[in-house]
Amino acid sequence: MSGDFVNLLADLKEEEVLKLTQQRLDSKEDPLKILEDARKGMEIVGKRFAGGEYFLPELVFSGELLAQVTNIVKPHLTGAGVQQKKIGKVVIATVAGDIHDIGLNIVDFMLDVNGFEVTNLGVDVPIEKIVKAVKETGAPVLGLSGFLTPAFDAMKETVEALEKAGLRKNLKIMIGGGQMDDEVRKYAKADAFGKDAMAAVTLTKQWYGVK
Amino acid sequence: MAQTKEWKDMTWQEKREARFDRWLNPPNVKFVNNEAEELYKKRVTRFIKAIKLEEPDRVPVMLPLGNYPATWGGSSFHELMYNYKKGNEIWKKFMAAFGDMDTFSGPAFIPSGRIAEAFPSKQQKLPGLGLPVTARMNEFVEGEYMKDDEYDLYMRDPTDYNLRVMMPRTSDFFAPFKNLPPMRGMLGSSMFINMLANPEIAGIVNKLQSKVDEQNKYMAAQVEIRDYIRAHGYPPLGGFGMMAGAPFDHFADALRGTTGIVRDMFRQPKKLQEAMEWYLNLSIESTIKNFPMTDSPVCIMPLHKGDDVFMSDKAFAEFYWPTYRRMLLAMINEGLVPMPFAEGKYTRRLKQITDTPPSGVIWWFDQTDMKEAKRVLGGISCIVGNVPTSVMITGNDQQVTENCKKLIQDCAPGGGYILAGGASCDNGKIENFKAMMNAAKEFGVYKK
Repeated sequence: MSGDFVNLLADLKEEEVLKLTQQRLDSKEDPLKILEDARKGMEIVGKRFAGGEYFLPELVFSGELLAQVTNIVKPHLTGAGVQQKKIGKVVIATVAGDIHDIGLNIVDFMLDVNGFEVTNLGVDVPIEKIVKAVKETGAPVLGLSGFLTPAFDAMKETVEALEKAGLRKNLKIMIGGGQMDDEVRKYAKADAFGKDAMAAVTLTKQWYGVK
Repeated sequence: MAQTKEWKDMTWQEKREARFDRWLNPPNVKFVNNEAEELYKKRVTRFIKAIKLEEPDRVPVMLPLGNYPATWGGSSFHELMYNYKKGNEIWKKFMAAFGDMDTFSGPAFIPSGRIAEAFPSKQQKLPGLGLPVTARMNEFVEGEYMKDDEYDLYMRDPTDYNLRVMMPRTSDFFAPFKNLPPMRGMLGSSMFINMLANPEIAGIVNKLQSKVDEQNKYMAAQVEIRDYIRAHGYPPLGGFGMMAGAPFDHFADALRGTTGIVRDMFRQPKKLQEAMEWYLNLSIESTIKNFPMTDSPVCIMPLHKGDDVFMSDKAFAEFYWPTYRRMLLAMINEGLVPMPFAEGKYTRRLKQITDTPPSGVIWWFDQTDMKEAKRVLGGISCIVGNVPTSVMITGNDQQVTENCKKLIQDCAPGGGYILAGGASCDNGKIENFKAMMNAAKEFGVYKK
């Protein structure tokens, strides 16, 4: 049952996944086990995305499925769930003046399924808010997203503000999205440019020293 | 060119020649002197040859200027939203200072600030209206404005849907429109008067009326700069502004949003297909067929959600290309020249877009591999692109020159190439734009 569930979720079979979720709850299975299987299914989705089999629609729809499964299971949870051990923290944000979130949310998803604790600050994030989040979380990795050309300057200014706050030295910064490329990376004085969400995972793993 | 055949009896090539002829000999332009007229014709000829996959005298250039003149002239998007005259003065000065360009046009997408203020929309943010005053461009706010069970409602009567559902939903100002009666029965005066007897509706109409003078001023400024630019010998490339793009994007961008459209692809793919088919036929019948003569037959069509990143090859072949391709064919049959602007990356798509008539479509690429584009689309479509905006904005003139040289080497041989930017630059350095123009003259001359 458990294996089917994982694969059905990975194959995005909505009806079957929801039916099976209910069946498992009805047969008094541990709700945490169902959530753990859901996570495994999402991991496969992430792998398929990384392998070029899945694209944005599959990723977004898998998120929809996960939300539904979680909603069905949640009322049955008793006590605190066991937190999955995370590799480490990452802060991500779309820079000030830019309201695009699709790429940002894919990066969030991919980092999450690859074991990182992601603080997603959302879109059009003021510089001070990014500085504050880096300081408070102590995350050694920051991902800046931007779609439009004005993001070039917003990224540059964000990196400068982090320098000023004395946070730059122990922080790795990656940029990505829309019109970003390695030229912008140099301009903004970031550490790396990633062409897609997988690159964000690869870079973060590399910086954390995990395989 | 004397038209001897009836329009309906002409081949698409003949219709297109008639439209090219109108582009070359614009009846509504009074050139300032003979030199301007000669330059205008030379420039248009350059584009026409590239479109027809022939070799012009040299590679034509479409500079990615966008609203760069505003930055150059020390002004801003926000200021020009309110001071139309100033915008025109800056654009005229820029044109004179820059000199030779193959095409040029007035301020782009800068709406009237007073009108935007009066009728706020949830779908767009502007400098000072949702964005910081210093913002250099407008931004669209995607959302699931049309619900998943409203396809049939929309298809049954899109005008009614837009008036009574979409406008109230996307703008608080138009919220009272949801109480209007269905519009299809609006015959005779009494129903209109009844409608205006409702003080809320009357208030909306009065406020709209109060902005008519402003709208006229705004439009007059646009016409003034357009005529001025053309009279000085700079032709337009896109002839009639932007036109709606692919049927998939029609539903994905403004109506259903990304998550909405994704859910439809999985949960109601047939309904989505039916709606795209419906929209395609409506566009062909009501807009494309018998399209009037315009200043240029080129129609720039921005494309969004069919790119390499958004969907798989399979999804592109299933959801995106079939209806869009038929739209392109309908335009070509009318003698129009569709110019899709493929935002993002289209490298994997190239192999999927080869089935259009040779020279029928111009493909403008943003981040697509241009060498590959030439290899796959050479002999099929004129290709346009794609000096990265990052290089244009943050790089120096030497880097721009190197980029252009490489692009020309890869794409120009045999004709069918226009040098352009990936996207528009709102700021940057004038030397970089000059370097781009000069690169075409230095490396892009076709040897006869």
